[in-house]
Amino acid sequence: MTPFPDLERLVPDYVKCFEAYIPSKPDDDLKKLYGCPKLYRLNNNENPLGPPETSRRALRAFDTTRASIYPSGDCYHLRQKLGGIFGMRPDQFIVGNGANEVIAFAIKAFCRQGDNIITADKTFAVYEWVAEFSGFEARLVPLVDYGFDAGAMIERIDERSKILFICNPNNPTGSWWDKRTLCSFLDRVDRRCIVVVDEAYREFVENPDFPDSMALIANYPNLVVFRTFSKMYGLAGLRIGYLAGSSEVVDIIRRTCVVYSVNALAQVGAFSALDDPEHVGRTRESVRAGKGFLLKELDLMGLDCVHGEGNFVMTHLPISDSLAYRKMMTCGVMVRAMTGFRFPNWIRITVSHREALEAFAESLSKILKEGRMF
Amino acid sequence: MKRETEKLLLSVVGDEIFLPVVTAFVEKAAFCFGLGSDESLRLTLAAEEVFMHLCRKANRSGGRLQIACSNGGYFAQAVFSLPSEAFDLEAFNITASIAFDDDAALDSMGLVIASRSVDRFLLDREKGGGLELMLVKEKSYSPLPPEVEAAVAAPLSKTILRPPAPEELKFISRLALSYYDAGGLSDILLHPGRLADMMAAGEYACLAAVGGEGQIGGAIFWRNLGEKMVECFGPYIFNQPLASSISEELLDGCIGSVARTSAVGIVNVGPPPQFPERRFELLGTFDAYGPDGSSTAVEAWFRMLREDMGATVWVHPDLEVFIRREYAKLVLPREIRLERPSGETVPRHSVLCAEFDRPRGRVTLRPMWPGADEAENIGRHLKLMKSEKIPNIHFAVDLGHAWQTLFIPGLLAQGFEPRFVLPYAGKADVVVFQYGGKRP
Repeated sequence: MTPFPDLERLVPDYVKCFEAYIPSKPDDDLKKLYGCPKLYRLNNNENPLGPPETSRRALRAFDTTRASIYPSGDCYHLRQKLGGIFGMRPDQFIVGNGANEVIAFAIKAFCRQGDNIITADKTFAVYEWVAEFSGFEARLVPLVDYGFDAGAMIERIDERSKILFICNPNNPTGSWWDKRTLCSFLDRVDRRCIVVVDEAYREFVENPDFPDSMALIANYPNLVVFRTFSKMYGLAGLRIGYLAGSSEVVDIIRRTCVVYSVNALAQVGAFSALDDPEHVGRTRESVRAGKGFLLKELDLMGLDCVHGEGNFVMTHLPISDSLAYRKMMTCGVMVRAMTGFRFPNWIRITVSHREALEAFAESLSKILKEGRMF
Repeated sequence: MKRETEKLLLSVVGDEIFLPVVTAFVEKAAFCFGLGSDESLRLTLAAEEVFMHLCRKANRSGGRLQIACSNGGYFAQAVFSLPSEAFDLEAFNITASIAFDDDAALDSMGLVIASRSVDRFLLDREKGGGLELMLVKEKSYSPLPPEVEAAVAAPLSKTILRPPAPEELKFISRLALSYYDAGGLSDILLHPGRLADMMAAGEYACLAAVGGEGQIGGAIFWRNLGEKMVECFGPYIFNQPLASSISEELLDGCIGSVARTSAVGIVNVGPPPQFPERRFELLGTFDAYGPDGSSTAVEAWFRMLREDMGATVWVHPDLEVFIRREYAKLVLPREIRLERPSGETVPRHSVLCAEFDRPRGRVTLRPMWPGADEAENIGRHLKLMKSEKIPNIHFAVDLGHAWQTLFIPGLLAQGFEPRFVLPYAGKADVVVFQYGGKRP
């Protein structure tokens, strides 16, 4: 008897062959599983300082009776505020349930069967995933010296290429394009495709050569910029991010948006996060100090590192990253094993607070010493 | 991705009267799929024996079965699928009805004859609960003649990784035989034509390290073993300096290629000397016996492709010490549930499935159904394998199924030794036993 539903017939091939991403278990389960009383999370590039004080106050003051009322369906007030900050119109912004959601909006808006997107092979995986489980080809261009290869990406463009995704700074390598590189790339693309610049870690960058992408939108109407409140603004748990672009492009993307996907608490948290004048500076200072400590410790262990802008460092281990992950978990330290990013034997460490980084250094050092005994 | 193969289906009632239909179907299909006349006849003979066995021993209620013949590029296969409720499960033991005190009787047993006629013979449970009997016959390929001129590779300072072109694959075979002893190579490299067909069928994937002028400095191969596991072969390095990083680059390229697939782990059994061990974890070893009785210790290496999420496993107390030691060594978080029979009723007859790999002189037994006769059943299978002169007898127990723990005391009592745990190779982790191996 044929089982019902007939999944063989119902499910498209590109969904059948796609493997669902399984996120890690909650902390309480992980602690039980690995037998560690405490768990330092250095795997998701979260801000150890948490949300800005202005956000905390607004979240504490949230009137719980508002939980029964639908939020603003298109994050009206937040878009007004973003428009004011960047000198753009509110209708040039779309807010989503985390930046991951706006990736899906953009791909849905521009791609149809037979189209492709182009990105790097070793970067944030969600561009590739959304394209593939939606039935579109993801063309992956190898990184060069841990950075996006502008020329090779342009060479891969054909008449069915719709979106080029640049992660700037790149997660996980921290490499970044300066203004000259980005503008030259946009000139060479010459409006043939949408160019998405994902700036999830932009607020961590202190280098003045980093491009002001928001300002570039006026000259490059095919440029779309992604930002998030999950990293610098410490609101990862509330899931809120946004995109910005020319009115014409954003108008198209808006047609594929799910309205009301951003909850009221996230809107309140994000709106007030932008009011804190000290949070960004304080976080940058903390990352600077933490990164210095981390790099010194890794150097003492004789490990090669790759890092640039952003609150993370990648290091190359002499053992399997997945084994190192398991061993470190038994010490209560959770890092990101990088095989899934196509960096086998690398781990990525979030630049967190000193206590967590010391725990990391101690556990990794112990594991490497054990390894050398064999 | 594996290429869609040609597939032909025959649905037939399990009645001997249909034997000519079955044999004609399998023979013609095998011929159309490119098997030579000898190979086609062997597959047909195996199908005939299986069909007759099913009609006489297993199908007393006239159940319907389906035969699917498909073209795997370098092999043709016939798969018998049948609903388990219509068939007598006990009859699916390859030892069914064998009178062990009469050597002549061994030759008259259908499933045994079938297993001898093909390269791979596998009995398994289908996902939907039915049974599946698979017969695989490979095409005949000429090995590289010993007098073939050795291929030469030059040391390369800079290489890129890319899949080789079909004509380069054959050259890689020659390079491998020029720089390695044939005994240390995966047998996929010994028959260049077969290798080319395997790749064309999508059964295997390959990356080669190629210099600026197309020179080949090394290669690595891999294939999927089920949904969760990848097996890789190599990396094979051809005349490169000791300081070269080609071997690491090839292995990283292979891992990177499967890192975002459904595979959870990657295994490398008996890797060549340049294998970058530190990228993997040593699971353990087993002994590979040759037909002359000689043995070589073969190492099994493994690495996870993901962060481990933990799992629950069922373990018989007799195996607890071994299992805890292995999990401690591999740092795999597992909830170990001890399970032993407590007088509950179990079926009278157990069923084991046997996966024959005749070219490698190996059979792997797996529990398919629990039964009160599990120890005797293991004994019967052992006796048959010995009479078949199969030197490598393995037994795989899936720790994801509590009922499989029933087989542990019988295995240990009859000389099987647990050799290693292969994470995520079944519903959960799988313990691989070897019969009569020499422990390192």
